[in-house]
Order: sequence, then C-alpha cells, then structure tokens
Amino acid sequence: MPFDLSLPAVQFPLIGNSIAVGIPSMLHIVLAGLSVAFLLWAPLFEWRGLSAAHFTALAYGVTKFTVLVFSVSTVLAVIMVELLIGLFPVTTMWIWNQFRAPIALASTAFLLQFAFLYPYYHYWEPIRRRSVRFHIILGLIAALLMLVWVAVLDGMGSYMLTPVSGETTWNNLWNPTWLSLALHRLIGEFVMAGYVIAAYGAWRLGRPDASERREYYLFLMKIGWIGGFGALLLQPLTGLIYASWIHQAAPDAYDQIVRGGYRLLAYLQFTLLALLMVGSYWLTKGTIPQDRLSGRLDVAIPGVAVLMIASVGHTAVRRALLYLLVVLILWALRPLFSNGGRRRLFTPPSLGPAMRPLALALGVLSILMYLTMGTIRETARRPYTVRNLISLQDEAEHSKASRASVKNRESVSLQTDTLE
Amino acid sequence: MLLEPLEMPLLFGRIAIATAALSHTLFATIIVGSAFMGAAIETLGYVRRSPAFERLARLIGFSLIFSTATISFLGVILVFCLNIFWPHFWSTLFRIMFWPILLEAVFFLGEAVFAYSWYYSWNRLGGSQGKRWHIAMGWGAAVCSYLAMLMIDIVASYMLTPRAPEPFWQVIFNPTMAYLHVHRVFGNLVWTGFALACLCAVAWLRARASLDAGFYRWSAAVCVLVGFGSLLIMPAIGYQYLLQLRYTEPQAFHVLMLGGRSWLFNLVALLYSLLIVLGSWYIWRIVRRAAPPESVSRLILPCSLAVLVGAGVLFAMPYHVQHLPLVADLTDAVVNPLGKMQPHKYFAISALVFFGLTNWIVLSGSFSRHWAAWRYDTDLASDRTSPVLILAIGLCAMLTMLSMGWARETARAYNGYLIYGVMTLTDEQPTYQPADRALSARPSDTPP
Repeated sequence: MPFDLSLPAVQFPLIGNSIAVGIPSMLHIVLAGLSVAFLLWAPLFEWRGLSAAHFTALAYGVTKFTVLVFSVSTVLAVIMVELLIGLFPVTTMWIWNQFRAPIALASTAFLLQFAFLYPYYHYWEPIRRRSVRFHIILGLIAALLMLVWVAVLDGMGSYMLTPVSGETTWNNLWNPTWLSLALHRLIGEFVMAGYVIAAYGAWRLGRPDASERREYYLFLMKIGWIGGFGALLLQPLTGLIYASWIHQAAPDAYDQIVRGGYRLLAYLQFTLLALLMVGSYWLTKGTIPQDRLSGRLDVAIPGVAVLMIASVGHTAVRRALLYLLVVLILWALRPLFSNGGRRRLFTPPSLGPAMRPLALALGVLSILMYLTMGTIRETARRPYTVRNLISLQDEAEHSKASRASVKNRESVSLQTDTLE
Repeated sequence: MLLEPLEMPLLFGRIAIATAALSHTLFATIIVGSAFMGAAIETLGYVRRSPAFERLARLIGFSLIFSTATISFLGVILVFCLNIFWPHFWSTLFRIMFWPILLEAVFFLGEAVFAYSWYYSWNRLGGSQGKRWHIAMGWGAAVCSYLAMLMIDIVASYMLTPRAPEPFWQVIFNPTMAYLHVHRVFGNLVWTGFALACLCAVAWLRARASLDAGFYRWSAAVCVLVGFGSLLIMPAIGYQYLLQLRYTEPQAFHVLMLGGRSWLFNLVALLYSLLIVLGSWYIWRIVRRAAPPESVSRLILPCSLAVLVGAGVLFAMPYHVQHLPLVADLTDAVVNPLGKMQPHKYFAISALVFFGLTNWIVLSGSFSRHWAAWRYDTDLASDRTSPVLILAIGLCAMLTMLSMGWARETARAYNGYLIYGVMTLTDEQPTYQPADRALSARPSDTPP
C-alpha cells in the first residue's frame, strides 16, 4: 500500500452525529409518512368521487402533493442514508447486510410503483376519460406497491429494537414487533394526513381568494378531521398491541421508554395525544347540540386528559384513563354519528372564529406527535443501535480498530523489510 | 468488518453495481444538462419574446423533474447496492469522501427544490418581475445540479488517481479531477442535447396537427445544435484527460489505449464517429430541404459527409487486433497498421472535428431568416427519415455515455483495483466468502 486510507471516525461539527442524522430523518419521515397515507387514500377518494365531485378534486390534490414532494423526500432519505453510512458505518452495513433480500424486493416494488403512479397523476384526465375504474385501479396498485416498500423499512426499523437470529434474511423481517410497528405507524400516518388536510383547508379558508372555493375548503376540513380523528381513536388500540409486543420481546426497552432517561419524550407524546383529542373535541363543539351533559363533558374531557399525562409512568392507570378519554369523547360526539350531524359538521353557522386557528394547530400537533413516536422508538434502543448486538461504543471502537490494523500491517511490513 | 458473507460469486456484485451505477449515471447526466438547457432556453425565450422557446423550455422542465424523481430513487438503489455488495470499499471511500458525498446530496436537494418550484410555478408567476423570478429558479436548479456533479466528480476521479487522505485538499484536487469534471460537463450537454432531441423526434412522429409537428421539428433541431456543438469540443478535453492519466497512472492508460480494454476505447471511437456522421446526415437533410438555391452549404455538405465517413472508419480502427473479442479466431495478425494513433487517428479525429464544425455552422445558419427550414408547412408529413435519424443519434449518444463510463471504471478494475493502487477487488472477497470466522462475528461476540 503506498499510503494509508484509514481515517478517524467522522464527528459532525456543532450538533453531533445523532442530531445530524436526526434532522434529515425527521424531515424525510414527515414527507414520506404523508405521501404514504395520501397514496393509499387517493384511490379511495377517487372512488367516492364517483358520487361526490369534491372527492375527485381531493384525490387529485393529494396525489399532486405526493408527486411534488417525492424527489425532495427521496433526496432527504439519501442524505439520511449517507449520514448513517458516514457516522454509523458498522450499524448501517450490518443492517443492510441482514436485509439484503427484502431490500431487493422492496426496491423492485418501489420501481414498479413509478410505472403506476406517474401515469396515474400525469395522465389523470386522459385515462379517466377512457375509464375511471381503470384509473382507480392504477392508483390502488401504486399504493399497494408502496406498502411493500414501507413494510420492509418497518421490518428493518423493528429489527433494530427486537432483533432475531434468522436463518435467512426473510426471517429477520419476521421479528416480534414488525407487524405491530407497521400497523401503528400506518395509522399514525393516517392521523397526520387527516389533520394536515384539515389544516390545509382551514389555511386556504383564510386566504383572500378563498370565496370562490369556500365550499371545497370546508369539505377539506371536514374530511380531514374525520380521517385524522377516526385514525386517532384507533391509535390507543394499535399502540397497546405494539407496546405489548415490545414488552414481551424486550421488557427492558419498554421500561426505558416509560421510566428511563428519555421518559420525558413519553410525557411529551401523551401531552400531544391529549391535546389532539381535546382539540378535536373542541373543533366540533359548534356542531353538537348542547344538552345538560355538555357542560360536564367540557370539564371532564380535559380533566381526564391531564390525569392521563400525569400517570405516564404508571402504565395500567394511564391506559385506563386513555380509554376513558376515548369513551368520553365518543359519547360527546355521538350526535355526529347521525346523517344530519355529519352534514352540520364545519358548515358556516357552526364555524366559529377560533376554528381555523384550532384546525391549523391540530395539523402541527399531529406532525409533532408523529415525529415524537419515531424518536421514542429510536431512543428505546440506547446505548445500542441494534439492540444487544451493536452499540454506540462498537461504532467508536470500529474506527480505532481499523486504524490500529493498518498500523500493525505497516509495522509488520517494516519489520519484514528490515529482516530482508 | 462485521458482516455475514453473501455466499455468491464476486461477479454478481460487480454486475449489480455496474447496472445500478450506469442507469443512475444516464439520468443524473440528463439532470445537469437539462437544468442548464432549460434555464438558458427560457432566458432566450424571455429576451427574444419567443413563445416557441418558452414552450421548449417547459418541455425540458418536464423532463428535468421526471429525471429528478427517477434519479433520486436510482441513487438510493446505488447506495443500497454499494453497501451490500462492496461494503469494505464503500465504507473506506465514504470516510475519505464524507463531505463531498454529503454536499452532493445537499446540492441535489437544492436542485430538486428549485426544479420543482420552477416547473410547477410556470403559470403562477406572471408579469415581467414574476418571469425574472421564474428564470432565476431555473438557474438555481442549474447551479445546484452543477455543484452536485462537481462533488461526484471529486469522488469518481479520486478512485482512479487517489492521493493520501490527509491533507484534504489533495484529495479534492487529485490529478484527474479538473479534467474529468470538464469532460463530464460537455459530455452531459452532448447526451442531454441528443436525448431531448429524441423526445422531440418521438413527439414529431406522433404529432397530428402540423403546428405541433412543426414545433417539435424545430425543437429537435435546437437540441441537436446543443448536443452536436458540445460533441465537437469533447476530443480536445478527452485528449487532455488521457494525457493526465498517462502521466499519473500509466498502467491504467495502457489498459485503455493498447491493452486488454483497448477494444472498448475503439468502441467509443466508433460511436463518436457515428454521432458525427449521423448528425451531419441529419443536417444535410435540412440543407437539401430548406437552404436557398444559391447557398454554398448545398456544395459543402455532401463533400463534408463523404470525408466524415472515411475519417470515421479510420478513427474507429483497432491497432492491437488481438484485443478485439473473437477476432483471434479469424486472423493471426497482431496489429493493424492503419489503426495507429499517430498519425492516422490524429488526422482522422481532426477531420471529424473540422468538418463536423463546418456542418454545425451550417445548422446554426439554418435558423437565420433567409432559410425556410422551420416554417411549419414545409413537407412535414413526408419527412420520416429525419426523426428516425435523430433517434439513431440518441441511441449512439446513450451507448457512448455507457461505454465511456465503463471505460473509466474498467481502467481500474482490469488491473484489479477498486481504488487505484491502494484497494483491490480481492479486499472485498470476505464479503462474498468468509476468509476466517472473525469476519462474520457479531460485534457483541468480540472480547473487549
């Protein structure tokens, strides 16, 4: 070797390695999470559009968003991956090596997805003129192919927390928390997507040019709220399933989440959840006919939410309060389950001055909650990067070892030269 | 490194990486070229108040965002492949090139943001001020894509002519960096120009309205003008690049020029000649149709075309005949005296460039008002040969890009190197077959 290629481990200046990886990762998962949900919803909206025109416009809008942010989101993923390779090389090489076959499948699915998504968006009208059903099928296939990609990435993410020693790389995918994480994340994406659609509708309503499409923006608020809030009510259940699997496969990791050094994140998560639930209730108050129970519910719902936050460290109590909160909100919103109730939702008489800022705030809160969920999962592994297999210390040792091995080789070569 | 062996031949990994890298390169080069062409053509359209330029810029904008989406995905695939198939090489190179590779991704992000904003705000930014902002966005995309390419050129050139990783400036300014970069800038314009011309040619063939057919015929010619013009500059830059390689890594130079991979360089020469000849034939078709009767170009073009065919044949001739695949079965001859570089090929390439330039000047002249070349009503329906010629040119340009990329990579790999002189292909062997147990041990198994 004419010269030594080894270098000390890269230390990202000012913010450190973890935050350097975290920033593009978070930006990426917000865009990617929204895109996944939108891609899954678009064909459903379009199908509903067969009977209500606004749904078709919404389907087009969310597909346009997906296509527009696609490159930015993918480049953020590239930046994230490059930072991972540079700053955490041992973990990155290891995990990709463990998932090489699923990655091949996921990449193929993603590439195929292009073949369906691009005609779906760029030839929207020409294809719909020939057959709306064929167009919907195109969107559905694109969405299903995207799900394959997402499922494999969830497999890698879950494996890092609950690794198994599978005989093949496919077995690694089938680790204890894979499916529960995939479900929890998918519903989390629906929560975020729904509230973001509602927030977008609320934002557009306040623009000077809103008068022409006021009805459509109100429709966005309504559909977004229904989608986001509906998914939010499912999250305690999917969260319970996920938490149970973590508890079963990695009890110490679960303890670390609720009682460890990063427990503040769990408090933050439940605070955001409580704010979303209470905020969603307040957003619909103008629609619900007031009765003698309303006043009591106005106090009980925030009260139970506060108690839930306070009991984060006590799992059983917190869960009971969370389900009580869900029941109370469902009880409060029961008038909406009738047809007349849904029709009144976000119609001008029930739309007070605080509704727009509240819908916007809920959009932001839903994004923050999605990010916090991801961060909690990452911190549950600390100090490991792949739990019980590779630690942050291994990353540091690897660099020293490679430098030492080069020095050893040089020294052996020098001794041989001297002997000769 | 702590990896389970892949238990497959090294060749599989080489094929996977080559496929991922070459497909990535094809789209990546289009991004740089189309960002510059799109911005320049929109600027021209604004200055000349020409709707045709505006429409062409928009067409280029669409191809740019389509390429951006595709390339970002193919980039992820390439990184996946490198991590899985060549982890030792990739982790070593990545540590040395951490900042250039990271900056490349950041500039590419900038390109994506500018390009999408540029394309999707086309109708929204009205008025003179709005249009200027719009043009500025196009140039923003062009500058970002250029900087991203500069970063990648640092990495690519380093693999062929590496230097010690510290101090870092000698990594960046390694001996072939500047030459490779300039070569690729013009190479991108060649490929993009011809690829966009192909798009226009397809649209021309499919167009039903004569107005559309006329527009696409004109657009194809504009794109050919850019591609053909850049093509003429390539030999001078390529010569300097090879000269530098000869002084820095003579063994790699020998492999390409006289050694086992010289046939690949002959293939590049053949494709280059074909590009010049087919391009000139396309120009001749324009001249025949539209040049004024008294125009001297009617005399120049046929003569020029005849000279170019002869020069092209000479330029593509091999010197070491035995290096051509399968030829050893046909003849015992070792060398072909006509294929000698000096003086034959120098004369040939000079003729190709000189007469090619003459034809390019004629093509430029066809845009003048004295010619009827671009009137929309002139024999549009009957001319099917010109678009087919453009498609053939595009195919040759694509093959040239692929074979040139392969030539550069094989100059290292043929001698067994991943990073020239310092890291060999056999260093990657443990990734495929375990050399000893330690290589496949998990980190937690290693004693403290």
